[in-house]
Amino acid sequence: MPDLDPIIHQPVRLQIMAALTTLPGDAQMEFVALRKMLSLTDGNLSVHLRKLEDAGYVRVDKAFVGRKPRTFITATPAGRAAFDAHVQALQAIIQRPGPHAS
Amino acid sequence: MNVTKDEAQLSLETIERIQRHTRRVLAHSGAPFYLIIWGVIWLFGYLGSQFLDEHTAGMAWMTLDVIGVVASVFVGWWMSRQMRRPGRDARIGLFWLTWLVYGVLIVWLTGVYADLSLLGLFLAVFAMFGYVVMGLWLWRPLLWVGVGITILAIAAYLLLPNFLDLAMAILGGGTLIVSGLYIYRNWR
Repeated sequence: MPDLDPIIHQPVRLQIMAALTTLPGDAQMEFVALRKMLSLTDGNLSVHLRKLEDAGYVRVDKAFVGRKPRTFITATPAGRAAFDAHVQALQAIIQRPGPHAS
Repeated sequence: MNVTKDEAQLSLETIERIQRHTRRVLAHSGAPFYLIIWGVIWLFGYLGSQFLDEHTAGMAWMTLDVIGVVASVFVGWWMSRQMRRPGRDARIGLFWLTWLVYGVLIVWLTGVYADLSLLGLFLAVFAMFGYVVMGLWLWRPLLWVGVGITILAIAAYLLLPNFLDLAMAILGGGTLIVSGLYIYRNWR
């Protein structure tokens, strides 16, 4: 059974990964769109994205759209695999007898 | 990590809620609008072909096509503000440009323009060829819409040749509009 991933399990990062892994494989979501969708502040989203980026779970790209700089975020293949494993671990916990799991 | 069943359940519910919300944001961000825009254009364009004289219908089609292209570019621009697919975005534009050039070439080389009924069928089927390619490449619902309308167009041409334009307005345009609305509502 896969283990829970402590990086992904944090509630905000769980939401970020849930959103990014819903996108098609090569799709990138714009920072402001992601921030609005998850009702987060700039700072909060940036901090958690940094942790996910350090873990290799997301990739952050800066680009110009017209003349405006924009930040696009995508879940990496490693991030998608880790998220899938985390979901499997959560599902295993609720199917297991007893109230707790490690 | 110690996680209770309740916490695990809560996390799974959060994931499901966010995934549903993300799909809704994506749905609202544009894709079904392409279907609705071109459905409305087909509806009025083919109604014009059925009931207006040739010259007026041709002018109506040109006006509607310009409106459709402008609206599609706007939707594409709007979508790219929220989400992009590097590499693919440019290739999608290139595909539709190639599709348009080859469409014009085929109409010219085959002389299909001499038979307005056959031209109507060709344009419908060729438009749906584009949808099928997009469906295979990007977004599966477009594949089924493309195949379905192709079958309807050929059936209408064979079974209702005198009312092909009317059939394409209702069946083709209607299917595009209903598909767009269904996907829009279904993903909410």
